[in-house]
Amino acid sequence: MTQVRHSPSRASADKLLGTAARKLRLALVAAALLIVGAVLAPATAPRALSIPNERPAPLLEAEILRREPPSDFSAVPEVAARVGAFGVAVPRGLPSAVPIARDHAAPPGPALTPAGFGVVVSGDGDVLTHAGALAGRFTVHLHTAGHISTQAQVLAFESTTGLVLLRLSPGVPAAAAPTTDNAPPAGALAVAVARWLNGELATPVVVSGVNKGVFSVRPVGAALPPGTPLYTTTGALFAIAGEGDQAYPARAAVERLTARALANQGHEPALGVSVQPLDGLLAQAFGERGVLVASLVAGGPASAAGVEPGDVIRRINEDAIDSPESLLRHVAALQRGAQIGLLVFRGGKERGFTATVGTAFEVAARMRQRRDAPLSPPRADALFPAPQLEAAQVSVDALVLGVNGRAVASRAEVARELRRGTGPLVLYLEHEGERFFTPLPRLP
Amino acid sequence: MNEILSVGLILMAALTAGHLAKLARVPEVTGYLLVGVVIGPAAFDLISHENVTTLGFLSEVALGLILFNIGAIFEASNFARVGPGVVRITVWEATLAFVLVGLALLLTGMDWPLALLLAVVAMETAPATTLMVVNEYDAKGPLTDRLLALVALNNMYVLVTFGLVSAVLTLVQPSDGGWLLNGYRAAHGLAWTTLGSIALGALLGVMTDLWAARAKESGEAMILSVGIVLIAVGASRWLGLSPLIATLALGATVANASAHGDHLLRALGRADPPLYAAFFVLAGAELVPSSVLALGVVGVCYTVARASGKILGARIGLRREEVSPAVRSQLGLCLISSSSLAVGLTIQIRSAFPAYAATVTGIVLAAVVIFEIVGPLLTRRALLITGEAQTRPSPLSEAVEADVLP
Repeated sequence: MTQVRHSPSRASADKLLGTAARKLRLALVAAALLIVGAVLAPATAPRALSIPNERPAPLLEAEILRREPPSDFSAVPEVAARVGAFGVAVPRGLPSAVPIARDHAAPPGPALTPAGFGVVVSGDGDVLTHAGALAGRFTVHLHTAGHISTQAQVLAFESTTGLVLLRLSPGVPAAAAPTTDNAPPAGALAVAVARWLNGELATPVVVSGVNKGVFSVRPVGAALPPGTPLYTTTGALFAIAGEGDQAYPARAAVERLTARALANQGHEPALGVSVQPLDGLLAQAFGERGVLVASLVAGGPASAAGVEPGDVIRRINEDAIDSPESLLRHVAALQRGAQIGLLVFRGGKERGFTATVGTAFEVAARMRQRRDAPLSPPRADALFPAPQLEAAQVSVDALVLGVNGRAVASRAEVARELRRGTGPLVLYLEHEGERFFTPLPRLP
Repeated sequence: MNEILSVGLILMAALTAGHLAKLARVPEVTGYLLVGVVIGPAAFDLISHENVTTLGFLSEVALGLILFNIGAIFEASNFARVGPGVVRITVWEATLAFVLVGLALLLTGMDWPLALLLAVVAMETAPATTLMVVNEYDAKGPLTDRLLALVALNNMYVLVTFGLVSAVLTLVQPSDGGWLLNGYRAAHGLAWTTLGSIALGALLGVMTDLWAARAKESGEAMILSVGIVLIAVGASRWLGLSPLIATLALGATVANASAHGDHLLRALGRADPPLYAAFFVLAGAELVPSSVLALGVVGVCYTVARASGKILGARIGLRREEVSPAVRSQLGLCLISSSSLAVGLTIQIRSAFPAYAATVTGIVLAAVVIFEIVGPLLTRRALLITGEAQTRPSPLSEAVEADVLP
């Protein structure tokens, strides 16, 4: 059933190459052509992809990929074994890859490196990325397959992971990436696949661990920009890079974010405030009712309203707040943009503030800006004896932002503060990126 | 699923699809492709992406065998009969598809290099599907004669044009190599892919002929032909040549060398059905039907312009030929199908011009879904209308006749 009908067989001598001499001549010419062609072959261009083994170079500037595993690529032992599969992820991943422009006004041009990446995860044009790629922007420019420069808006944001679901402008064709729940096990190889205007990018990534559903990933080379999609070697999207070396399972994230967006809860209301319960010695210092404001996101709704660290929030509108949980519950029920009244206890008096409810995304964006502001407060062990800190379970390298509501810089200032009263000292500390109050019992 | 199980499943699915295709009065190829879509990652995922990738070599081998078969079309006396006309038709249909697609895409505001690349891909006609349909209906006649020679020439023409276009684009793109070096690289690449591949095919062909004189039994002949096609495909990959041209040249050389060639090709005919069935089911599994939804204006322009170019070009090319009006009207429609080479070119574009990769991939893969399904149906219809189909699919032959006759 699968044969071409050939013209009826004829005597061999009638054929074009019927004689031995003709065959020999053809074979010689062909062999000569092949040899000449091989000899005259130009030196191939230097391979663009290289695995830096000392200092990781900035990924976007230095590393470009080609699907064919280049010779030096196989020199990396952990990659060598499975390098053949490297090529599968790239063609599968590219049609869904989107670069996110650094500049709000301009699409990502050839000369511009993108702020991060994203990946199309649904036929509706939903793009999964990480807030780190958006730099706080609610609307971003990106570039889909099909050479369409378009805008996308934040559809849903998840404050715990920082993952963002963007929605492309309507009508922009988008091909969704194939996703999988079967993540590679720790130690396995994966491929980061992305694209921007003047190139494709793929870099092998080793999944170095999985902890509570969050992957630790180690790119073979430079760090991954936020939002870079990670593919299994069989070409299915399994995770999306966050900041640092973390990556989050993609399919589950899409499901969560889509569910939020569908329930019209893509934007959690937020006040940009973190609080702690008033118990034990803190209740002595601040009273028993309400929650203690441990830190505020600068420029966030609560901060803009005038709330300060060390304030005690006692009521939102008319409702009493008695625990951090009740505050969370109340905030969750608020509407974005609504004006709310905050009853705050400060310095022995109750005061009212009016705040405009923001969203978790805006707050996270402002928090990102705040991180950049350097702080140089003294370390706890510069002000207090180590045994005292130990007794209060305060880490010696915590930064002391304030004692009893005042900034302090030396032991002398602490001694002055000690002379002022007899109650416990309340330290305002920053440790591992968190700000909080902690009581410090006086030494007998 | 492991690979062996998936191959088994593919063959069983192909068998079922072949029967269903007869019932549904569509070519077997269409049945294979559709069942591929159904059991592939796009639908039930019985054959996963991973399976499709691992079994990719099967497709390469099958395509090599198909082109080896088609190469035999270039048997000198046979080609002398239809050759000149076919060259003219090929030039017209492929060039017109190129020009129309290029213009249509430029009108949509696409960058010219991108439009050029897509226009080259649009020139291609699928050899495998065409050969399958022709064989299924045991077709004979002026249309069939031309059709098979056409797809063979078409593919060579496409590869040469692609070489030229990539050379031009490489030259205009800023790069570190300098104008002269880039120019040399491009020219060498073009000559190497075409002449080098032909030389490899010819060399292997002469060697095959020497062996063929000793391979008297059909079993031996089968081993020889499959083995040499594998070597041709593998060596082309190794040397950076085109497996497509090399296997075509191999087939042509074998057919022209001696009477043993026919013996070899006949032996091969018994060996390959399972491989071909697997080839088309896998091709179906690789189709992404949903990509059609994302086709957009550009994709529609591409599809329409390509089809118009092919149909119109074939008509113009046939002007001076003495053929029946049915052949005149149907030949262009037989050239619509598009598959493996288009996908192959897309893969090459991805590595050579990464900036255009995403667009080309999106449009070509979506268009292939359409052309791959519609193409065989049109070819079957043409074979029935021109009366070249010898075996009418029984027991439905009357219905088929009623279907195509006015």
